[in-house]
Amino acid sequence: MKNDDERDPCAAPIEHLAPALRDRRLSPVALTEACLERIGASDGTLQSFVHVAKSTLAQARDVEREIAAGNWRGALHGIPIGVKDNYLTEDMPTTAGTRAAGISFGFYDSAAVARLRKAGAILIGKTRTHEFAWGTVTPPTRNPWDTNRIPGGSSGGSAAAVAGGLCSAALGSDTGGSIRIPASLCGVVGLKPTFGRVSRYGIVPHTWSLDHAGPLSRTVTDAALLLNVLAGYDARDPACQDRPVPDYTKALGLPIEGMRVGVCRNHFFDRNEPAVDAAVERALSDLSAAGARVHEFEIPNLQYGLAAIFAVELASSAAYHDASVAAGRQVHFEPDVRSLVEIGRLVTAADYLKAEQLRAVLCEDFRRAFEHADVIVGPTEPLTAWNSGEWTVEVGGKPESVLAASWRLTFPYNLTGLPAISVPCGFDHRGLPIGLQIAGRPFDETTVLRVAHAFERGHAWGGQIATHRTP
Amino acid sequence: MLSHGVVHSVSRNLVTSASDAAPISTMQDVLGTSLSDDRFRESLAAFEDVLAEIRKLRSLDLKDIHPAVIFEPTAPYRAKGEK
Repeated sequence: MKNDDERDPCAAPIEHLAPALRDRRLSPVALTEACLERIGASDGTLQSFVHVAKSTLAQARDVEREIAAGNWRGALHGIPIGVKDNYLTEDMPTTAGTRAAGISFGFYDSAAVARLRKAGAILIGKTRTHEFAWGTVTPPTRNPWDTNRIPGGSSGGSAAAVAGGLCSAALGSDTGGSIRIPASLCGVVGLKPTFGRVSRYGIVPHTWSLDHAGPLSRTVTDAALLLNVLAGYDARDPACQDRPVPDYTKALGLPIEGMRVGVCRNHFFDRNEPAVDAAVERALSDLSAAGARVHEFEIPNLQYGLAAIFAVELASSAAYHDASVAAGRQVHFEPDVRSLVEIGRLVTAADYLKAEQLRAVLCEDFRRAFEHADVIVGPTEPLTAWNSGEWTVEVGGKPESVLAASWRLTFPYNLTGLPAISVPCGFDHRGLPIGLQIAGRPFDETTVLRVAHAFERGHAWGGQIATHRTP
Repeated sequence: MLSHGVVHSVSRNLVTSASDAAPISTMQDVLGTSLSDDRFRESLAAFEDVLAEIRKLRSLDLKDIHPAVIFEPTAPYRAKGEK
C-alpha cells in the first residue's frame, strides 16, 4: 500500500488493498471500520446506501481469522463491496428502489452476490437504485462531486458510494446505460460486460434481453479483478453463455501500439456539450500518441436506435409489471416510473419485433466496424451531471428529457450486447467528471480493459475519490 | 402526473384521435390496459415522443432480417443440468 492508502484505506483501489490484506499489513476489520466511519460521516448527505449490513464487522472478523490462518482466497478477500438494491441478498432486504405497497422480493443470493461471497468479499450494504432501475437520476442520491447534482442512474447509489470512498467497489446493472452513465457522471470506472458473460440470476428484471450485470470500481484493474470473480456460466440465467473465463488482468499493462481504435463519428458526436467533445478528442489524441491507429466510420442505422431501445424496454417493462398494474399497485410508483410502466402497453407487437430486427441490423453494422477496429471509443455521456430536480436538459441547443439525453450514447451497446466500459477522461469547467466509453467485440473484455487501462495509466484521474463539495 | 421521464413536449394528436376515431374503451380493451379513461389519455399524450421515434423505425423495410430473438427449446433442460 502507498502512504496515501494507509491514511485512507477505504479510498484506496482494490489493486493496492488486496496485497496488503493478503500480507496482513492491513486488517480487514480496520478497512471495514474505515468504510463504516465514512458512511456515517458522508452518507447523510450522499444517501447512496439504503441499507448497511448488520453483519459487516462480523464478516470482517471472519475474514481476518481466515487470512491469519493462511487461507487468503484472492483479490476480493476482505474487500468492502456495495450491492445495488436490485440484486437479491439472503441477509439484506431488497426493494429495487420502490416503496410501493404490495411488492416484495425474496431473501436469497443472486448469482453475482454468491460469487462475491465465495471470493470472501465483505458485502457492506445495498446501494440505492432508481426505482426498478428505470431511470438515470436515482433520487435522492447526490453526486459527490457536487451535491446539488444527480449521480446518474440507475446504479447511482453504487457510483456515488465508490466515488465518495464509502466502499471499494459496487455492483451495478445496465439495461440502457445504468452502469456507465453514473460511472461517467461520478468519475469512476463502470464496466458493462458482454450480454451473457455475467449471470443475472437473482437480479430484479427490467428488460430480459437488455439487462447486464457488472461492476463499478475506482480503477480499470479493479474492474478486471471483479470481472474475474463475476464472470462464468450459470444455467439459471437463460442468456448466460458457457465460455472460458480468462484472467482479465493478464493484458493490463501491455502496450497499445498498433491497436486499431474505431471512432463512430455519427450519433456519438452529433450533439454533446463542448467540454465533453474536447475531452474525448484529447483522449483520442492521447491514444494515438500511445501508438494506436485511429479509424473513423459511421453507422447510419443508429438513427433508429432510440425507437428500438424504447420499444424493447417499454414493452418488456410493461410485461414484467403487468400484474402490478392490473392490481393498481403502480399508482404508488414514482411519477416518472409509473408513466414509463403504463405506456409500455402502447408498444405494439409488430413494433417490438421490428425493434428486435433493428438490433440484428446494428449487430451486423458493428461487426463490420470491428473488421477495422479492435475497440470503438467515444464519449459515455453527452453531458456532465445535471442539477437535481431538472427533468429536461438542453444539449447542443435542443431540449430533451434527461432519459433521452443520458442514455443516447450508451444504449447502442445494450442493443448489441457488446462489452463497454466508462473511464474518467477529465472534468468540465465546473469540475464535473467526463467519461470516455470504450467498447469491444463480443466477449473481448480483455481488449476493452487493456485499452482502458493504458488510457487510465497515462492520466491522473484513475483512482481518485470525490471531494464531497457543495458549491 | 406525467411530466417526468420521456415526456417533455406533449402533443395532443394521439389523444384527439383516440377521442374522435375510436371509443377509448375499445382502445383500452385492444391494448389490455386497465387504466382510467383520464389516465389512459395522459398515457397516450406521454407516448407521443416515443411514437415519433417508432414512426422512423416503421419506415424501414426489414422483412429479410431475422429479429434478434432466438427460440431455444433446450433452455429448460440446460437449466436442470440435462444435455
